Amino acid sequence: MAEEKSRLQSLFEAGHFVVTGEIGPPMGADTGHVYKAAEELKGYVDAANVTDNQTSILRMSSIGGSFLAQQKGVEAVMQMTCRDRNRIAIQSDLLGAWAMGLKNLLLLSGDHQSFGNDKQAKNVYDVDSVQVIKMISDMQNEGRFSNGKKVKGVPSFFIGTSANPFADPAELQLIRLKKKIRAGAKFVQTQAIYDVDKFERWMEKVRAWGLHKEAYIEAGVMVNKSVRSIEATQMVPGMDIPDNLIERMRNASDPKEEGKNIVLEIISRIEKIEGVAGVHIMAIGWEEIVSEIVRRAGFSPRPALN
Amino acid sequence: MKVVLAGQSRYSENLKTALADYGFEAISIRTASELKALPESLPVIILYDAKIHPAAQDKNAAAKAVLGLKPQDLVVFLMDKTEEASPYIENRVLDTALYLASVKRRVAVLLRSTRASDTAFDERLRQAREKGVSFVRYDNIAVEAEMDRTVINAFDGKLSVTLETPLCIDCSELPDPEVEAFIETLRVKRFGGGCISGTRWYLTQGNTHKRNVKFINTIELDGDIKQIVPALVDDLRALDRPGQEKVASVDSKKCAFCYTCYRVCPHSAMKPDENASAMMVDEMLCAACGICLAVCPASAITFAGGDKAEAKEESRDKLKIFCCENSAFVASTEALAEVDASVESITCGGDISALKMTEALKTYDNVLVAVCCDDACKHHDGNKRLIKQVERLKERLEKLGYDPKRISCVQTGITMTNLLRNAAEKALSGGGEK
Amino acid sequence: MIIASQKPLDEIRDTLKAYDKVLIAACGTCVTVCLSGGEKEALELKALLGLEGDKAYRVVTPERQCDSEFLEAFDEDVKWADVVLSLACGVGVQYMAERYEGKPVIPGLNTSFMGTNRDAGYWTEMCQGCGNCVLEKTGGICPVARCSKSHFNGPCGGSANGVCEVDPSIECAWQLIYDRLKSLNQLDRLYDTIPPRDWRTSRDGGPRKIRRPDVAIEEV
Repeated sequence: MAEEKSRLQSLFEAGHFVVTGEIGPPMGADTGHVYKAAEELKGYVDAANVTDNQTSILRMSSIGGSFLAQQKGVEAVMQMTCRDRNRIAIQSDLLGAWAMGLKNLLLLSGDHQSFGNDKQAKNVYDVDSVQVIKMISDMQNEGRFSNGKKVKGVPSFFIGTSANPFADPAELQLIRLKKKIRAGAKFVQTQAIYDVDKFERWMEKVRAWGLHKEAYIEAGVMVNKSVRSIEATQMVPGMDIPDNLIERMRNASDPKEEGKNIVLEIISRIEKIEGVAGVHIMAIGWEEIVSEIVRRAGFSPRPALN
Repeated sequence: MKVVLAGQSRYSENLKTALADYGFEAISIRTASELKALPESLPVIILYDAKIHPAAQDKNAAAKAVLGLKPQDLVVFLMDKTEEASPYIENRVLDTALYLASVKRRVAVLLRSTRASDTAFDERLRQAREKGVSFVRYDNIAVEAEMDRTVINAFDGKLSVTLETPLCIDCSELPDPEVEAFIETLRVKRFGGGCISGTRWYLTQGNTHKRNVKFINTIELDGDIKQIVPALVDDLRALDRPGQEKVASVDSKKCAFCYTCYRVCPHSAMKPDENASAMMVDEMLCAACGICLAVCPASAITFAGGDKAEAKEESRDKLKIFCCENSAFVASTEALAEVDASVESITCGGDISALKMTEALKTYDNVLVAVCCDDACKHHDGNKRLIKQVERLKERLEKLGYDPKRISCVQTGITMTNLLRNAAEKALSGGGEK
Repeated sequence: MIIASQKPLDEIRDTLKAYDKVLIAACGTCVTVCLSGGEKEALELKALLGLEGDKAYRVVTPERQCDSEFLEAFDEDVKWADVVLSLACGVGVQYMAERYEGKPVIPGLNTSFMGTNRDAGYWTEMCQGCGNCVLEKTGGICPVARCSKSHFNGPCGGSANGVCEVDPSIECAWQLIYDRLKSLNQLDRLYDTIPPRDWRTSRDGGPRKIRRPDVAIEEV
């Protein structure tokens, strides 16, 4: 059983500005897909999220994908949603994941199944995201399952969660974030940021509430390679993309380059915001671009651990 | 007979006196809460003076508004922007526009319609034109207010005109909270407003959907108010004959007290009878449109009193036509004289339920329901209700494997005989197999 | 109130294929009020299905199909029929089936939810009968029934402009809860974390029963 802290946790604690990436597992049991993405990210990110049936599209499990990514030397941030599992399955899967060497865990409510290809599916939501954080955090701290029974071999995940600075009602979203942190979330990844002004205002509130001192806030950014991709992103619930960015993509002679420029501009601004402890780069399906973004943003090379 | 005069107009007292000559006791009330406290079966006339932008209503205010403008600046009166202006507002605007033109101002009046049928109004327009007022008729309009000027783009369906003005006077009627409170209290669904002016008078009742509510908005009277009172009195007396017409009646044992009829009744004639845990009909208000019969889920409502429905001829096994008495039935004498069909008069399209239509399909190959044109329904969209009923029934027939074309509907008017005849002929030939 | 909607007509017709005498049983309570299974709908069904002319139909309307006393009066009608097409909610259909041994009882409705009649012809879900009401914590708006994800501790990240991510026609329950608690000056309640639910009181504990020994006639 792994005892040391994850690389991600250690870097946060050492005060480094952390860079994470994202890997979407394949729609099948093909290992090559994850291996390839991991190889693209290796050395350029400190860890990579492996999504859990994101937007409810049925894929290889996050546990499996995370394990494969770690085989290729990329530390995984395993994602776990409340959509598909009840408290029995969540705790059981996490025990297995920890036993296989996964150390970072991002707990989420999950996109509703109506977004994916299995709209007919029944959802679970036995626990919500605040409750699941509390449940796993309590399990780790007290060595007991939610049912009170003793855990033999207690995991020690570095628990994170998500936040959407652009969702409504703004005050309640912040209260919920506070509850998640109070429940035991140690790091927070935000929804992809396009509207930096709005994000700055959100961070002001985060600082006023002192939340940045209780958890590491990682700002999410997304790399779009085409007009279609940014337009599709805009359709995702909770996304807030200023029109001028979409216009820029539409008018660009080289949309790929423009997409990179946009994300680099966003990164350069959010990097300077007080309380932002890292950046989470989402480039699913375009993983090869992450190395360039990281280099051009001046984040390369990534720090080594002592 | 008593009649309630709600609200206040400059001519309230005149009307009160005139009504008294006919033996009516007019009760003046000023607030909606007083209205609530009255027995609800009294006829109500709402009186008020319409208010518009002062610069359109009042010559002095208009003179003040143009102070400081350059002589070449255009002054624009924008009429009918939200809805068609009442004759009173038209007259006020024309007066102020004429005045400004007479003091050598450039004036344009933008309006949606010029009511060619009204000779008195035509005459006023002609006078104004002669005095130099420009009239611009439009169908669509875009108004953009900038710092010190307004740019207006008016389009009449063929041409578009762009006007620039430092003073654009919006002549929409300003909301009157007092009147709105009355409307709210009376649960009136659509408020058109009536008008009395020198040579013309309008008492709008059809728009109110409540038999005992009439509206007079501003009374601008050059002549004698007495000239309109006889007609008003006739209307009021007609209200005082309950029981002669058929009315809806609720079987309180069957009523599920679901409030559906209460919600859909265009005449606000349904009221809860708490003692019986059922709805009851306010016979003063009921217009026997039949909409409640068609929607009642418990089949608890029937008509009591005289039955208006009269079948012209029975069982010709071809086509059944239900005709609204307010439009198609009037047109049917001429339109359907040569058509091989059984014609039945109905109070309103809203009265025709899916059950009635389906039952007719047992005897007839095809069923046609002829109702009023869009806004002509006297029962607040009973016609549209029918159209939706027909849509639903068509879908259901199709599910069962029948030709949905066996049911059809048409919107028509008293004089639209060809339209009705064509619809009937189409129903006869284009309908489905039995 | 229980809200239901009628099954597609072709589906109803197909389930009746094998029978000659059909008793259409409306129900006089919930489904009458929600316009799906009252006498009017029953008569309409009779007329529509009767266009074929191949079967005999009879319409009855018990006050409630879920109480045996109301059914008694219709025992003879049921005896006459080969099949009962019940326009009651799922409760009524089952209760009739239980009462009339050997008589097929077929549902004419899809029982949908417990909800309210917001306006003529418009019903919305309000309650899921989870057996452990939390409305006192959430300003009288149910997070179980009205949040698409049944969240207990605030909205997910998909709430924007008061609208749920699942469908723009769905109001975000947590926006409603927030607005309501704000107007009640009780926003502080939102800081409490509601712990995971004990779902045994809901369907997850198996079919539920309620007994009132003080009312019961025989000891159970």
